[in-house]
Amino acid sequence: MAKKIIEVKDVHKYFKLGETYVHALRGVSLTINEGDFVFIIGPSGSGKSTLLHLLGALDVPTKGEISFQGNRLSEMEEDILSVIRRKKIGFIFQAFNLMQSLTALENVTIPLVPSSVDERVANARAVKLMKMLGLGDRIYHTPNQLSGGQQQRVAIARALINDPIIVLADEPTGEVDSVTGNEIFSYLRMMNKKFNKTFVIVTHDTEYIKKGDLIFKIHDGKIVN
Amino acid sequence: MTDMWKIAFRNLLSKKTRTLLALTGLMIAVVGVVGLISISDGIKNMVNESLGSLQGVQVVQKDSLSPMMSKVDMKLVSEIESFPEVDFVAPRVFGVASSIDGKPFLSGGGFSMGAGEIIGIDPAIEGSSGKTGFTAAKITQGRFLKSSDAYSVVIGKTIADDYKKMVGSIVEINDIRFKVVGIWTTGSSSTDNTILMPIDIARKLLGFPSDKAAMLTVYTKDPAAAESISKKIELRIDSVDAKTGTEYAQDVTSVLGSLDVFFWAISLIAVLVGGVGILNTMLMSVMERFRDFGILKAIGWSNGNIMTLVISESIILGTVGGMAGLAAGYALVEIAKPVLGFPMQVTPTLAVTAVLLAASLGLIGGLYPARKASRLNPIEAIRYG
Repeated sequence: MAKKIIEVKDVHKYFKLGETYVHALRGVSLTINEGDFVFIIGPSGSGKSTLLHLLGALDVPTKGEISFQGNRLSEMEEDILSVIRRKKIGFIFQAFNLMQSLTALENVTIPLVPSSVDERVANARAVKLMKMLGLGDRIYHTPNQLSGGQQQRVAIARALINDPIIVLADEPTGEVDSVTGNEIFSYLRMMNKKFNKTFVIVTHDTEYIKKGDLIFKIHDGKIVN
Repeated sequence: MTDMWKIAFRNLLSKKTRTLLALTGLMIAVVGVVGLISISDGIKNMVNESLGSLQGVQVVQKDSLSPMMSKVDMKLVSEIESFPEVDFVAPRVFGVASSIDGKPFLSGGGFSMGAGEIIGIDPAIEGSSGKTGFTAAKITQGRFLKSSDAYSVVIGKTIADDYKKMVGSIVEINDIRFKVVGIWTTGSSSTDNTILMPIDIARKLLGFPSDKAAMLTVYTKDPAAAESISKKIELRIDSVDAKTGTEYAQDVTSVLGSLDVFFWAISLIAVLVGGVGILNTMLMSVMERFRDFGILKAIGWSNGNIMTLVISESIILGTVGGMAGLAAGYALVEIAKPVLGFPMQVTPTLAVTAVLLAASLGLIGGLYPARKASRLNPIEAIRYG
């Protein structure tokens, strides 16, 4: 049986928006196992990004419990959470969010800076990943010299450089055309197949879903499927 | 791995204009500090060198503000010479030439560089035929004064240059004609504006009483006895102050100490302005990069890592600004020194202090922005950047 990575139990999340409280998540429970290719889908404002942030230890639930590899996130200090994010989780954002002053290679290795990994080791690992993602000739380019699809592939490499257990992607195809979107998904699926990496992808583009994927449909803060 | 300093450098380089502006602000502050303190250090150094090397004991009227305002009775010469340790006493008078070749000391409201300080000496004692000479000076043309000289002068090189005089020239001092018999230099253009003449003539020219001198220089048989004889003179003769060159230098240096405090106070203001500049730059730069910091936090950078990055950037700003300011300040001092004829000196202590000051300014100016960056909520930072 596949190993359980994340277990979400009856999670609620409230936000204070001005004077009013927004009940973004209303009792979500789910389990993600190693090697899963997970989609969280739903209309905008349904709470899917909030759920992703909670899964990524970027935020804590107001109520309920999230366990990461059996450890309860709510019991951890911010410093420990940052170590979990650094060592176990990879993030891919909608707007690529690369650092403009750094080269593609430096953007890929930046998560390793706090771990003081040897520069040669880090660069070798990054170059290998970048070649796998078809960026072999873009290593020393800066983000503004790259197309949207290439930037997103740099972001994918950055998410994988720490050899995480799980990669969380927030609308990874939100800012590219559908051809590039397909290309990005083919890379994500390759990493999933080849290295048994777990992916959790928030999207509203259901066209990328394939048979065998795990789908959580979310609506008004609840899972509806 | 790309290390923190490298990322910090890249970040600064990616906003060249802003980085340059911040550096310029800091540089100006450091140039100000270097300039001011170099003046103070230079003066102190000059005082120590020139006064410290003065031979003998200088005896002046008690509580006189300067040797120029002092009057000492000539009868004291024999009294002091009666001390067994004393070799001989050289009387001197001092004054300022009110005009040279008809040009007044203050011409056109400004300071005329050639205006000279008159020193009257007794050639029989201090002249080339006497017991001692002016040790700090070197005759470059002609000769020193001798006992038979009357309306003869030895002039400093600056005056010779300014008024185009050579040995044998006639120079009018306070409308009286003198013959130039020699030209001398002390090696410093600021002290080369002196005119040496026989003491009797100087008294007449300056309206100085004939039975007085401005200062008596007491030469001891053993130079090491100078300090003890200065104490003895003060003890025995109520109407005078007696000091060795070293004691003079200490006195002047302590007065300059308060000048130092004043210069450092002004410098501190310049430095504070520089610090506010860094704070402003770093704050702006941090606010522009909220999204970047949010991303870094999301991918596992801790609050401490982000603080380190921002502080590294601001320490680099401070250090580079400090070094550039030191270089510019040093260059400026070297250019200004001969033009102003003013003693200025960038000592190693000043150089190190200036750079350290600027670096710590960077550190302090970066603390608040760094804290702000590290405390960001990553989700909001990424969403609203």
